[in-house]
Amino acid sequence: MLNDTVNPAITYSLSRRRFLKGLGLVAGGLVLGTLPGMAQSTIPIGGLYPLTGAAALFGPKFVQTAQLAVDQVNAAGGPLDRSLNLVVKDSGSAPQQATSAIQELINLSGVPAVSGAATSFATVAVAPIAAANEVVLISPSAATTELTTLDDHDFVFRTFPSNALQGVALAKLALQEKFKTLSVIHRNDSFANTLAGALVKAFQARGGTVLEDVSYPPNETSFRSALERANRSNPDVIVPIPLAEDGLLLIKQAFQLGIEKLRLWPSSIKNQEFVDDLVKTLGKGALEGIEGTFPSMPQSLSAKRYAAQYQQRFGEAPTPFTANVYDSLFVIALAIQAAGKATGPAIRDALRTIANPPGQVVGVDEFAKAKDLLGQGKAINYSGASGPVDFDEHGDVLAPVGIYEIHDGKIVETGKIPAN
Amino acid sequence: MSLWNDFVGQLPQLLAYGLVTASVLGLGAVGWSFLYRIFNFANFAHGDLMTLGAYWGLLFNVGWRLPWSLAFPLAIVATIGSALFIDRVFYRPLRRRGSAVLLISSAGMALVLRNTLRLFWGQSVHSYDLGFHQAILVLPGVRLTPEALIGMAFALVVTLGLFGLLQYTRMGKALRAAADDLDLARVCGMSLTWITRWTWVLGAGLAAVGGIVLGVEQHLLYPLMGWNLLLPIFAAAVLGGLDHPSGALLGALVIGVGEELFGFFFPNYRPALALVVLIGLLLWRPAGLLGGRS
Amino acid sequence: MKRPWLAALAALIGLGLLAAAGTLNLERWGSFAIFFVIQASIYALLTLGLRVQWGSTGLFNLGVSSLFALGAYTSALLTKSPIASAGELAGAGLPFGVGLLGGMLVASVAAVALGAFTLRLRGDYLAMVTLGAGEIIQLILMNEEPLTHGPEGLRAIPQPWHSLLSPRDYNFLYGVIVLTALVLGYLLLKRLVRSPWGRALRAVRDDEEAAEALGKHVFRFKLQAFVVGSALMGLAGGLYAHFTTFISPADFEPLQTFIVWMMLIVGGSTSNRGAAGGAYLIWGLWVGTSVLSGLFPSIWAVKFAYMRVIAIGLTLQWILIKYPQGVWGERRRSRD
Repeated sequence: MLNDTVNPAITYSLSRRRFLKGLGLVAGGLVLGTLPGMAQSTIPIGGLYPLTGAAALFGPKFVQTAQLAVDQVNAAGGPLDRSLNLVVKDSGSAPQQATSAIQELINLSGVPAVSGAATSFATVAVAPIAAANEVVLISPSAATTELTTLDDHDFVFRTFPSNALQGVALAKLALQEKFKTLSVIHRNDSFANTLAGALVKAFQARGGTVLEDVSYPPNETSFRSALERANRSNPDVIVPIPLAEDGLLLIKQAFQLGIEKLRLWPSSIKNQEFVDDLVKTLGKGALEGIEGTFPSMPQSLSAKRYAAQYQQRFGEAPTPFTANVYDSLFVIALAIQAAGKATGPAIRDALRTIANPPGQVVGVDEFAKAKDLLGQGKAINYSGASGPVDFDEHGDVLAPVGIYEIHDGKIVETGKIPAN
Repeated sequence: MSLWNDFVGQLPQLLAYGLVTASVLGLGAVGWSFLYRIFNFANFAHGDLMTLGAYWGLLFNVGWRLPWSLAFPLAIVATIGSALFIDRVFYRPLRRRGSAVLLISSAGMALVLRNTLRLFWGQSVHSYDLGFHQAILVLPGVRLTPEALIGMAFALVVTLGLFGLLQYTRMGKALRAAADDLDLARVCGMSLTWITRWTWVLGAGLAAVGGIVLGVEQHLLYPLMGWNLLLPIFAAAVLGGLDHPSGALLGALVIGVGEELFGFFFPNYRPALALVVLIGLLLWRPAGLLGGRS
Repeated sequence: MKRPWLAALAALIGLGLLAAAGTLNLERWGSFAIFFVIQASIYALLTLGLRVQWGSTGLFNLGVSSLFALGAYTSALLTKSPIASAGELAGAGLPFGVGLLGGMLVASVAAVALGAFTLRLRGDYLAMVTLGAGEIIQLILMNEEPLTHGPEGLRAIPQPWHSLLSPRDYNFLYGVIVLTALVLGYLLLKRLVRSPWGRALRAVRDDEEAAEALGKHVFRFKLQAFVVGSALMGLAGGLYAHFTTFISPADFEPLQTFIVWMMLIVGGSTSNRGAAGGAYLIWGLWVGTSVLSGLFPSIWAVKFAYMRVIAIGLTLQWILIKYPQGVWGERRRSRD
């Protein structure tokens, strides 16, 4: 039974011919079909986001946010009086698909800059291709510490700070809340692994005791024994570091088991959709007072404006990393305007001049103002939805880390972690 | 306190978690091994069939606002209907082409199912309109949620019902005969259509129950929920020897309990245990735990 | 001409490229094409390896991704130097060729270890064990950080003769290396399949008991076929590692195994041409549909991404039903 059985195919040769002819037609169509995208009236910008695969939860939100940013820029006249054209590709579930997708963006759509990729591993995988083709890559969400030291000819940036920052912030918040011992339960992927590592190191360096550092495989479905393990030495708090749905599963199972110590959350689950779902099942009381960190400037004018516009357009609160997506698109538009041309090296060279001080501060949805100032030969300093967006020499941002709290079933931004 | 002492102290609790895990695995594995026995078909879409069952439940329970007592039976029927449709259109023309072709076809079908769910329900998380309950003390040292208890009871009732069906009804006996030797059964005058229909009714029905129990137990539905369970389901079914559905149930118990116990020591290697046990057992007893023939 | 469809295809692509050359950079099209060719050729090597195991011998190997991973990690670790700032510990700094050979060797050793235990089992048990081994190897890659650098993966994997060309054009050179490997692998298999050894394998596949009765040492033949196929997969892994220069456990998900199986079954499991052609066809389907997605406005992108995967799945079903022997399968299977 295991082997293929023989089946005479009489029409085989003919139909194969027809089939391959059809395939050829499709291939030819593809070649011709990409032509309009290369027309020079618009500037194509790539969006490389996970629409299928393990991080697919983020994809749809990223796409709509990127479109919001592009629409705002275009409504304000667009860079160099041309409009941006967002070309979205699925980074898929494997790096093989992500690398192929960025090749399409660069060589078929001719983009000078790409917003993406979302996951850390996909970003590190596509970074060499962006660098070799002299295309700017700005990741809105890759937090792995690995990205800092990449040999990328300075073509790789990110609007989300390295985990080294948020790890320290989480440790500080834990101590501020008088937690002396903690356990970590984290997903074993590039993002969560480096964040957990930074948290453990920072917490211990500041005199705290880490009781358990538990990791679980990315496709885990039952967290019960891992939770019992994390809870076994009775820590003051357990910090969950998930990526997406796994966080919701983890938190619900903890509540089911009566382990109510998961009260310090990282940014990946600062997600009102998750909180709504938890409230629906657990009630508001269970979540009251849970705190977390998120690497953004809370309460800033730009952040508030972004949240309001997002709410107005999509009828929901912004989800994690979307502020960083918005900023990644916006700085690309500003850099094109400042550089006077839309090429990778020009954008790379202009990014720090438009995003870092000195210069007059421009914020969310102020493309017209920025264009004006640049036209007058003045320097600008973009301060965006996620923070000041000041790139250091590695292309990393040094954002302040904010604190959020769950209050009455809503995520409220309450303050920020002091720089040191 | 040493890890070992903690482990011993937690043992009853971990065993109970193992039973919870096993109940869902069992529902998947029994149906899977049934399909495998009859069609020599390693169904890679079985996990996604479970997801489909859970999402049909979501449609009726949340979308149409039906009470669960109505929504879930409807979901089971809908899943069976979907499975029969898929079989008719995609698997039937391939039935005589060997297990590799069917395997690839079902792996492709898994992609189709998962992304169809994404197309209609989006990528966001969902949950049923049911209350949430914390674990209650069931036995000294054992706390479980009512949902988990109900899920386990359901799994037990459904699988026992199935065994009864197979053992004592005419249909069951006929199906068992087909499972032993499909060709012989056909020679004896059983219609392949009939066998196919009932195989899918049982296989897909169990998968739907499994998906719904999982969704109820973890209060969460997401597109990857069933796919992530596929490997332990295989392991459970193969471990059980593929000869009788009760073997798959026993395999699920070994895998489920083993994973939770092992997971306390090595949470990062938890899924590996199922596979190490499987490989070890195949070397020791190539016919599986309950397997009579080799 | 024997294959009019081939001419039609070539003419169409040529026309398209010519038309495109007017408005867009031919060099960029070339870059994309060579990238595609390298990826597809690496898949073709994997598929050829599976063709020896399944198509010739009937070995149900569901651990393709793990042998691919072993080749990639071995070659990477043999050739790279550890990046101290990233906390990497392992790396031997040896030449490219040594890395590739090492990758093939480790994959072969793994095949011997796996095969020695499982090749005597029922065929479907081999499938389960190799599937399990694939998952275990992925977990090891994720967890044994001193060696594998865990989920962060290994980066800055050296590329041979990297300084000869600019980074943008380097893929043209690497494409030659990969195509050479593919052609050599293809020719080798062609010879092997036609040799007495290949005939013995087919005898084992078609009727194990009869082969045994004829005095063939069935287990030894199976093990040899398993090792030869696995060595090819290890080679594919090594070539992949030096191509992307970054590998992590995410590159070697079980999904890769299914993709390779799809390629083999669609192309035709009993012919070398089928294996190589199937790899190009299926990978062309993945990439081609993604290229199409660039033509739609981004508001459709999300739904399109789901529909794209659905379309790939349905096309697969259609080909399976339409081409019982695979698109390039043998019309009549030789039963010698």
